[in-house]
Amino acid sequence: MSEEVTDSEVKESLNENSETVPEDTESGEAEKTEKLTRLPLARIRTLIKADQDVTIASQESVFLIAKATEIFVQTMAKEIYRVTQGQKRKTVYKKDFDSVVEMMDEYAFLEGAID
Amino acid sequence: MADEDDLNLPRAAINKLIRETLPQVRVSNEARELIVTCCNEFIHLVSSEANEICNKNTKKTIMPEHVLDALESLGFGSYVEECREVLVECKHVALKKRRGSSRLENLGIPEEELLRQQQELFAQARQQQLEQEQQEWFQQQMELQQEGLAQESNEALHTMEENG
Repeated sequence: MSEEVTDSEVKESLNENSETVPEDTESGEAEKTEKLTRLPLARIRTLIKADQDVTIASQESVFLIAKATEIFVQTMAKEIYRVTQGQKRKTVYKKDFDSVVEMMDEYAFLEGAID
Repeated sequence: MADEDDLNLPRAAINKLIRETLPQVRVSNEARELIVTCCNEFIHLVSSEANEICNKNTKKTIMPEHVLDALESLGFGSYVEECREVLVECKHVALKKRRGSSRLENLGIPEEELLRQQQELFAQARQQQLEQEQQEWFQQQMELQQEGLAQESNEALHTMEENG
């Protein structure tokens, strides 16, 4: 039986466990670009172009999609963990994933992918 | 040629994102792999939608606005705010880079002055080379003279010996 875990409870437990992440030591412009996105733009561009219908995407569009994907991972991770916590577990398993996909309409597109 | 299905975002990058979002939380390998797969799906989904919006606007290049609209229509409107902020930053960085490359042109010295300085340097170099060549020529003359003197005295010696 899963309990309803509130947003604040999730945040609280995350804050208790959080450590300070060491900053990258690279200096100059490289540091700035790295902080903008953690996912490789080239790889993302390749994935976008894999779609036959897509002709061209501007540099900024690729960048935006990269950022959106980052947010996607973060959002989904939090939601999956909420399910995990609701079941009083400490490890996130695939089934928590399945629960989230079932629960949320936006994630319906993933239904085919997770088997 | 790698199948597009085999093309994934780097596992390490995704792991890092997960670790930062859920520090100290154990996530099974299976779950991690799933997240990587889902990222692919997400990218395809958003780019497809953005492409459709782009075509509807009779444009050929997918622009940031198309991506933002796509996110909105797919139910990820909550991402739009943060994306817009980062887009501004991105433009900022791009602008800075462009300014940075033109810094060489803007040492505070006008081009004419730079040209004049360059000509001066060339003239100096030419002068130095000329002086060096002159010196070498002079040196050669000295050596030849010395050889000549030596030869003369040798011949004189021979003549003396023959006569005396």
